[in-house]
Amino acid sequence: MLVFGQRAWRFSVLLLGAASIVGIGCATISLPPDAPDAAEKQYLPAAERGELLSQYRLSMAYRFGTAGVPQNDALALRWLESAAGGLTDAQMALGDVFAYGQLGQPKRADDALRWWRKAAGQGDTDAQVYLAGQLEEGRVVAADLPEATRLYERAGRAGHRYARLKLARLIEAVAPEKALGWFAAAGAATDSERLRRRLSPEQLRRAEIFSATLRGDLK
Amino acid sequence: MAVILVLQLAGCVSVYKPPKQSVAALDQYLSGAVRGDAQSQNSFGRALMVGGQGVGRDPLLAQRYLIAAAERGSASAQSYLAREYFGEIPAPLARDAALGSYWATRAAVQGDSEAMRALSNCHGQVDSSAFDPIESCKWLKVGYAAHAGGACDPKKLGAEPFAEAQRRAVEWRNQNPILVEKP
Repeated sequence: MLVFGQRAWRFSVLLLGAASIVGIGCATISLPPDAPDAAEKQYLPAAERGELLSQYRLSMAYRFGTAGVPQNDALALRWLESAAGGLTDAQMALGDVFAYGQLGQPKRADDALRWWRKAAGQGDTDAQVYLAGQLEEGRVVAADLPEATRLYERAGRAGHRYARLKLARLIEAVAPEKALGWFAAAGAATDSERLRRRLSPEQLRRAEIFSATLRGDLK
Repeated sequence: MAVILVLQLAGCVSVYKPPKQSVAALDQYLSGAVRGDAQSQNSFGRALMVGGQGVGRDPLLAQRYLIAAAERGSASAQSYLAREYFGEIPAPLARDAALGSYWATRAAVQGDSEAMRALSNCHGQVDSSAFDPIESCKWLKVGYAAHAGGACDPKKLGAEPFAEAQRRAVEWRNQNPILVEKP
């Protein structure tokens, strides 16, 4: 009985020592974080009800394998096509899929153009500028400078300042008087000054007439 | 003994559970970005540029949202685009000092000192087509006023160019009265 008592005492002292060490070190028990579940709990029900933004979100979640769902190109494409039924951002992204061969799709420039044009045709000035840039560069789709010019001008007249700058740069070589007006409308002082120094007095006179008309149009 | 043991451990053993992985890019930024909100477009574009917060990396898509944000007036996006075009940060586009200057100037008008520094840096590079030491000094003076050093050293620049840079900085400040500190 006495022996048992001594052992119990020694064991208790040892335990107390260990607990003190743990206590002084302030032990932290780390648990794994909860897995994200937004895709299943929020996006999917809303997407199935036809909500375009949730369809676009769900498409992104499947594309990148985030928000609690595994990466799945087929489902990403399915939900992106659904969202593209009415959301210009999704239409642009679907154009990217065909332009760059994303989500396991082969590159199809015609389909890329079709979706980008659909978004641009609905008056989305960002889409117009993006499509114009693609048509100007001609790397992913065939170059079409007249259409690029029209799209930049359309967006520029709708108030897109960057479109005005891009338009001015595009037409600078062939129509410098008009380009000067568009540089000014874009607020690109450095480019305006650079071009102004290159123009003859007669060209500057014509440029001023065009600029005055343009300022009136853009009011 | 049990009481001592409990006291030892009480309050000193904690349980840490990390927060759920953020999906803010999908939950918060995307809805604003689709509505055309500049700050949301900037946040969404930046998330796409590096990957995170619920999206993977897609620099091309990121670029489209950043341009949209910059056009709608996000100084942060304008400054970021400027530094991309100046070649200061990696980007899916070719260097273009003129486009960089365009976006940096739009950001500078809003008081973005990072854009002013980038403009000064762009004009200060000897091998750049935009090399212009007076403009380089001007942007440092606009952005950093009395603290402008480096490119704004009158001994290196010369008295007359320094005075011209000072004049241009004051003129720019008078035309764009958005900053507090005077050069």
